[in-house]
Amino acid sequence: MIEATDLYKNYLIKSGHIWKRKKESKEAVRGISLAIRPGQITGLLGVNGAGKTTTIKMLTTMISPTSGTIVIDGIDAVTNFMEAKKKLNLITGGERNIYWRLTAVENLEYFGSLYGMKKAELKSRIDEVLKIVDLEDQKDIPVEKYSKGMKQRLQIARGLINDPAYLFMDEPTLGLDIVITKSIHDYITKLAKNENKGILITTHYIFEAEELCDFIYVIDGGKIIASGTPQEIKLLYRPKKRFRITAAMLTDETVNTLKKLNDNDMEIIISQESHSFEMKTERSNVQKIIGVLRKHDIDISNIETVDPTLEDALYDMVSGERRG
Amino acid sequence: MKMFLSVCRGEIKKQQRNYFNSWSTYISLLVWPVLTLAVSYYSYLSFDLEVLTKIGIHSADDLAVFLLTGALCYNCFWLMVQSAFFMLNERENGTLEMVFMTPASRMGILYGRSLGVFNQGIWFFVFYMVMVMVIRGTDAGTVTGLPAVFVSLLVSAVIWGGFMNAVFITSRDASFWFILCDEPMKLLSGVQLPVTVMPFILRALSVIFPLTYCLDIARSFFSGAVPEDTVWLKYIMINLLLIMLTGLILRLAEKHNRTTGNLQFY
Ligand SMILES: Nc1ncnc2c1ncn2[C@@H]1O[C@H](COP(=O)(O)OP(=O)(O)O)[C@@H](O)[C@H]1O
Ligand SMILES: [Mg+2]
Repeated sequence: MIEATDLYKNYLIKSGHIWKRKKESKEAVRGISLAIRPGQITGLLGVNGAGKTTTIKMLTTMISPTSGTIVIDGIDAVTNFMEAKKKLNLITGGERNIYWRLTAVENLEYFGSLYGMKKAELKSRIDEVLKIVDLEDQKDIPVEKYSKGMKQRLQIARGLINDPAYLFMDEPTLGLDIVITKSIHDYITKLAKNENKGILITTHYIFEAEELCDFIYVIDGGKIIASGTPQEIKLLYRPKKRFRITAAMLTDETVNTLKKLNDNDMEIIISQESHSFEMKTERSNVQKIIGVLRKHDIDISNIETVDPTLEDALYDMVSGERRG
Repeated sequence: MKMFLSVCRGEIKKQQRNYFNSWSTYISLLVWPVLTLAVSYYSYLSFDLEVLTKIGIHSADDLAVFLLTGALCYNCFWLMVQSAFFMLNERENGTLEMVFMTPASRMGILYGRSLGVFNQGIWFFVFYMVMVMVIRGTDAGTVTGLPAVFVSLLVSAVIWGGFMNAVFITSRDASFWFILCDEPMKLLSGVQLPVTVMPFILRALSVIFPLTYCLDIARSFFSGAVPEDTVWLKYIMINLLLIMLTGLILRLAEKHNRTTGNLQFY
């Protein structure tokens, strides 16, 4: 298990011209504690700038925390980081951090050699990881001829080369289309379930966290503002219910009256073309709307409730935290 | 040590596959140096060779060997600078970050990279060997001299390459180093003009370039003498110093990287 306790990271930023350097301190992470367990996918969910990458860099020993401790299976990863590196690996989004002129096998041979692996051991490991990411048939083609999805799969293979107990993924599906994303998700799930890897994934895609993770930490402004299973997160910040009302028609007058009802309590999104509006509100307010429509003599053709998504939850959480 | 060797081997293979995988690269590696060499040889010949006797060059043959040796050593050193320059790309791409993710021996990475490009220098060395044997004949001095030149050049160039790699990993202003190692290094180490004829201030500057000592050693083999002990001593000293400096730069860089998230520290 990986246990991180009370991590802080202050970046010192030098700015200004060479003659009048200013030093500012930027608190990117402010007291994060978390755990990563073997066989589980842990999510770090937050908007851009929340501190996800900084956290993952501390956990992977690439940067040292300003304070706090990280223990990886009994190894102190802050002081004994060279030892800790053997137990983990990192996969990031973006496709440039492999060698494009080399083939998959050549890339893996290279990265394997950096772990001091012996020839025979490395060879069988390469076969294994290529099989996991289904690149066996393309293993001798230079990476520059690969599609985006294949490159990302090779990244995963690279991340597996040292058979790490823990695998970190920093926005691994950034900029990939939905089909590739889906297939990458399948591989990630497979790694946790079949290979018993402890996986930490950062993302700002809520659906990704919801679909993949066993446990989610929501982070904002360098702090954890909520944690739990996807279901718990949804319940924890029970977002307002959403209703979708479809009317037979909507006149400008009606729309204006409805817009006036928009306030803190009620958020109405009106689509005049499809004669429908969506609102986030309590059930009682729906009556008010129905009243308005009746007064305007407008038939209601449908009312349905829409399940809150994790996206709603995150939105409410982040804006709630920032307000309060 | 086992780690060091494994990393070295991996780097050598990767360097060759990544940067030197086409015939055109190999050919241009030989053609350009030979052309530049020919140009300087014939421009010297257009002057009166009489003045060169002061510096131990008594014939057109001597001149050719002098320039050939200069070109050989310089090209091997320049190859290192060039290959280290690729580090900039790797820093940008993020491959360097992935390399530092691993527990690989850091010195192994640097020296492996340098060894990986030194192979390209071998082309030129073969050319050099043939030329020297044609000019000087295959007497005992030449035959024992060549391997000694090769080994001393290999060691020094690879150490220089490691240093250059460390510099390019950590320097914000890489072009400064790139330019320094072009004409200034050529001039100050005495590639085409012996250091001894230079004004004192330039001669003092030549002390910092290991290429200077490499040239001293290589040239003395073919001017009929063996290198003086003091030259060897200087050669060893500067290389030890460079190794230590390289290790120090790397350690500082990684430390800096761990606090600021950035490998560049000046
Ligand atoms: N190397 C750095 N130096 C200074 N500030 C940084 C550095 N890296 C990140 N930051 C700042 O720290 C904050 C958190 O960034 P980051 O961890 O990259 O967030 P995320 O990955 O969630 O988008 C941001 O405000 C960012 O500008
Ligand atoms: Mg990030």
